[in-house]
Amino acid sequence: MVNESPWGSTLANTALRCAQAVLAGGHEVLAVFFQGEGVYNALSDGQADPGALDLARAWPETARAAACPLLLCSSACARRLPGSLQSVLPEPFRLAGLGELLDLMERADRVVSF
Amino acid sequence: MALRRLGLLVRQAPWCGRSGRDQLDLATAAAALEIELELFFIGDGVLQLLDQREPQAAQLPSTHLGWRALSELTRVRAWAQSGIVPAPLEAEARLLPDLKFLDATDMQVLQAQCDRLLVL
Repeated sequence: MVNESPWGSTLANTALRCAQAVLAGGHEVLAVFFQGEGVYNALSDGQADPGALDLARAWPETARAAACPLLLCSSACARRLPGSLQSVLPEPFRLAGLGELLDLMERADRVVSF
Repeated sequence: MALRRLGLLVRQAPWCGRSGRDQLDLATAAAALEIELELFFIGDGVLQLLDQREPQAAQLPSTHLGWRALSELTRVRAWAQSGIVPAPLEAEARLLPDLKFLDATDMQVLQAQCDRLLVL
């Protein structure tokens, strides 16, 4: 679960690196759920700083290779993103409700929140 | 693993973001599914528990009252980290009934009893 935006702290970056390490270790990542400010991870950087990773591109690259859904909390998106943007989310990001998060938490062996 | 008891670590001060509801949304969703909640207010999160606040004066929503409403949906136990605010302020932390102050060691014991523990 990612609570932080790409810019407010480095936690989103850490979350991505953690997901990549988990996958490299041969484990399955059931899903990545973006909550609160974390939904901004779906937005591309207008002009990324040199050496900084564009998380909006890096998350889908990692997710596609592992067939891992990238879920954006629908209520968090409703507060932060214009409706026009919510309807054209870059794949594989998609909207999901908190009920889906709770279901994933039941099925997963571990839940890690950033 | 059946999710019967969910632990939530609330670490942010009130209105760190304007919404004030993101943390509550997850707690409310779990409560609506009758998942028991253990709320751990740690660090700046203890400030969430101060009662008698008037956010409307700052044109902010009164979402802090939502924490109190959770007990209408499911069993809720609330714990606050001791030693964060001065003792007189601890007495003002009356937002949630039956709130108890614990040190970190005692909190860890309770956290280990949760099926899942999330940091908000």
